Amino acid sequence: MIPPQYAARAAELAKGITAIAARLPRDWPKEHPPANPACEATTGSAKTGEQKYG
Amino acid sequence: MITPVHTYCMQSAIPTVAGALTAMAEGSTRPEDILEACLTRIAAQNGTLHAVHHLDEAGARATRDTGALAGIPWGIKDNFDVAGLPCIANSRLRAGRMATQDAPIVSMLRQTGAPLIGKLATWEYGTGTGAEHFDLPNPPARNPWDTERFTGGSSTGAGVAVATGMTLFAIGSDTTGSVRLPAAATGCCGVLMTPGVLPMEGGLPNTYSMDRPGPITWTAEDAAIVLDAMLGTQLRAAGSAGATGLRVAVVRDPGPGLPTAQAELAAAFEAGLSVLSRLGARITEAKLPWTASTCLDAARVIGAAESASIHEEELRKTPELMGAALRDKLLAGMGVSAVDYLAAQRLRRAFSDAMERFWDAHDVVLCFGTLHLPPRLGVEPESSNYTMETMLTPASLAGLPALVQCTGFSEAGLPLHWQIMTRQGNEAAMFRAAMAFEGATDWRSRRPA
Repeated sequence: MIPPQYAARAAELAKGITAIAARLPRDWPKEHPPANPACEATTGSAKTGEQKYG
Repeated sequence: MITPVHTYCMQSAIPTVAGALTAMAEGSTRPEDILEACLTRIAAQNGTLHAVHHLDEAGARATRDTGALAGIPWGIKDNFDVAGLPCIANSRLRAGRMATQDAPIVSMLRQTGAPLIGKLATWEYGTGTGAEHFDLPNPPARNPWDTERFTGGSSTGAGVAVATGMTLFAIGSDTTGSVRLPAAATGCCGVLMTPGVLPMEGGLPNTYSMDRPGPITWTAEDAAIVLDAMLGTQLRAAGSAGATGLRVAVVRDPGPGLPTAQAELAAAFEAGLSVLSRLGARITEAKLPWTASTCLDAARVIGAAESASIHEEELRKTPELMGAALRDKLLAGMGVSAVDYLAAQRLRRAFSDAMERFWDAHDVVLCFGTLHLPPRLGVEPESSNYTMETMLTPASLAGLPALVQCTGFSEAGLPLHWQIMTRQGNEAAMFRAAMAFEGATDWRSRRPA
């Protein structure tokens, strides 16, 4: 949920990020999977939680 | 009134990690002498440079003097937990927060006997939209080569601390450049390892799927020494093998939507390339499977969405406590559709797969980090361009090891740099290139005065 006082700013910023996303290639084969940030080897802090270890 | 530095010295008393270890082994200096010198430099310069946010003088003095890095003072970005010290991440959202345990990367370094001198400056939660941030609890860190200029972010204090000898090495974290940009801006070496090699646990996340910790040091050799001590690797030995026969792919063009590198960066790049060629590296021209600009687009979509997910509750409850840069990033992230997020992650998978094939013909990629010289603080669009117009995101997206090192200085005395990337698990090749270049040039003899 976006705080009402920032709704206009959010709408403006959403336009910008949507325009960036629109530039991304979309013509992947249907079977082409996305990277999965929850379990990929490319994970950086995905297992991170504040004061949680191991 | 802040006076720009604009000066440097060639006979600095600041030792490298390698030099300090040798001097201690020979008995020509003692660990306490090195620590006192660091503390003296902090006392003299931190009031201007704002690199250290939480000093732990007592803890550093109490550190045992045994281990591979005994007597080598270090600092860590204030987004990692250190037991008994604040972990504020330069955010009003975390006022008064103290850590009760060491993050695993802190524990690893404690095992080496290196005295932790304190916690270093960061942008809020290690995030931002590019410009330097003046609305956070701490003032912005300042570049010791010119105090009117930007330090690189988000590990804003790490490069400053190392360049000035407040610490002999530092640990930062990097999502799309937050170790590499500060290294570039301050003339240091910044390193990212294969994801998972250095633990991010106990560090506050910025973008779950791309955050990585990494060392900042004065030399590539020092980075290898620190990593060897932490991980039991042999990077220093491997890096000493020279560049003969190393297959170096040169990527100059960042692709559409990004400018070409500034002229002095480009000139230093070509001069450095000649050095590597003379050292026996096999240089070829190459293109990445996707341009840096496309990688940047994907990284921005992923970063905004994941940051918004991380901070959604705080955005809803206490947005006024955030700095504008963090808040804007989260507001943008709230506008990312799931389909767009997955489009970026699909590109990421494809790019990672294509890079795997790319390495069949190449050992390392040589390219720019950012395409700009360190900008003037608070001057737009210079500040944003410095962090957003880069070739840093391909390594972020594909989880590639990467290293930024100094390639010289501009006419105005600002550090120049390049970036070396390699295949996951092939850090030895990256260090071969970096240490061979370093050994054949004398750029490491110059320090900010």
